[in-house]
Amino acid sequence: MDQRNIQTIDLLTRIKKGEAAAMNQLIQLWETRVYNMAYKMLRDHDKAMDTMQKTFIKMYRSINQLKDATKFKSWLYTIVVNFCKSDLRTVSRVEPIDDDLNQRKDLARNPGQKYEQLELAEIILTALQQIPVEQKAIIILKEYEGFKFHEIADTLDISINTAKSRMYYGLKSMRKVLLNNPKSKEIYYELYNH
Amino acid sequence: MNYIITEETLISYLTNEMDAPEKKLFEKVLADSPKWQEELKQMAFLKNQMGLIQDEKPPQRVIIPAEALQTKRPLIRWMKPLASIAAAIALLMILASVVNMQINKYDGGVSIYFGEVRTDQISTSMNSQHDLKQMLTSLLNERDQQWRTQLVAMESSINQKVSNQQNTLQDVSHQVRNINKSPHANFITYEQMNDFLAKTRTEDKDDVEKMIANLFEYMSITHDKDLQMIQAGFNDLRQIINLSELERQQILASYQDNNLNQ
Repeated sequence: MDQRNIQTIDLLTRIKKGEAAAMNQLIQLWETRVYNMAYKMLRDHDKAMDTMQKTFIKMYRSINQLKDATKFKSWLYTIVVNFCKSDLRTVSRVEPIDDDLNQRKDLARNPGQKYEQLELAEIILTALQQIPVEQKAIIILKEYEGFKFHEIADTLDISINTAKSRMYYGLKSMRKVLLNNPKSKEIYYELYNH
Repeated sequence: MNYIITEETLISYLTNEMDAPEKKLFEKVLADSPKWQEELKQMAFLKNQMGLIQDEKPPQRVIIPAEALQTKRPLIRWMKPLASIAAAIALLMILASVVNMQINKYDGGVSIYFGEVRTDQISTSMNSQHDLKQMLTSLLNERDQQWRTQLVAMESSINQKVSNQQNTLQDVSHQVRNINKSPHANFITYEQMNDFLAKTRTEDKDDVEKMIANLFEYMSITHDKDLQMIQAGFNDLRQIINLSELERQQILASYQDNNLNQ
């Protein structure tokens, strides 16, 4: 169990004892993670902020329903994913990769990284938006939120094998999206063959 | 060796969620499968590239509005039983007033009356529930008969009023329609025709005004449905009067032309 989860269990115990400050600490502990999950799902800072707010409001209101403190992480991410899914259901527009490449010129945040690598990373984030939401959620939970497959299964209420299979097809779909665009295909192969 | 590489095992291997014995088997089979080797290579590359995406910092801290954090007041929850009791009492009071129910307690028991107080008291201190049920049924039947009689009388009265009103409206319509049948023979002069029409118009107007006054009086004592009917009648009258005025002007114009030609 990582440090964050140990801290979470401690904070949940304090919340149950009625310590109001513990709730704020719990929010602080998870806000970056929740925000990043929402941002990668929605690719929109404002919507990610909105989802984060809604998630913590729901967490605050229903924290008493959480019986097992060790399940907090799955429980919290279930809330985030559900809000994201609900948001994505109302929005159908997907940003094309070309638009994304033209708009994002400030990529060189880490001087040690190659420009193409950063560019591809950004393209990948956009390609993520073009795959089915169920596959996207699994890839993000696995790759960015450090979930084990049994945790993903818990969070999304699916079997472990389904989670693995969806990840496989999700990655395949992403690769297909990247290779369908001439610009991203060029960068992809340049790095791949390097 | 029966081990087969599948999509799921490939992902388990790729994400390092495979135990050591299975990993060994996987790698053995993989060594003989160029197709899965290529697949794994492509996926591992994509996964590595994904790893380059850094975390975003939330642009601002979580601000949860105070009202959103307010726990819902349990007012309704504890009020629910009280509200049910209050509703039951209110319902009982309404029913009691409708059937004019009276409950009297005396030494022998309790007497219940619906409507006028009866001299032949029926007591609830009876031998069985059956007696009580019979008593209630008999009283309710009696009341039911009275209600039916009253209802028939009321229906008849309403029908009579509506019928009278319809007749009145028909009279008005008939009178106004007569305006259309104004004589306009060639031997009548323009002045005569104008006087005649002006006179008939005035008379008709007086009649209509009287009728309106009567109708307003009637409106004040009738129901909404009747009001709507009267409103519709007024609209008809207004249209007929407008038409009559138009026709009057046309008739006068034709007489004026005739007189000028002569």
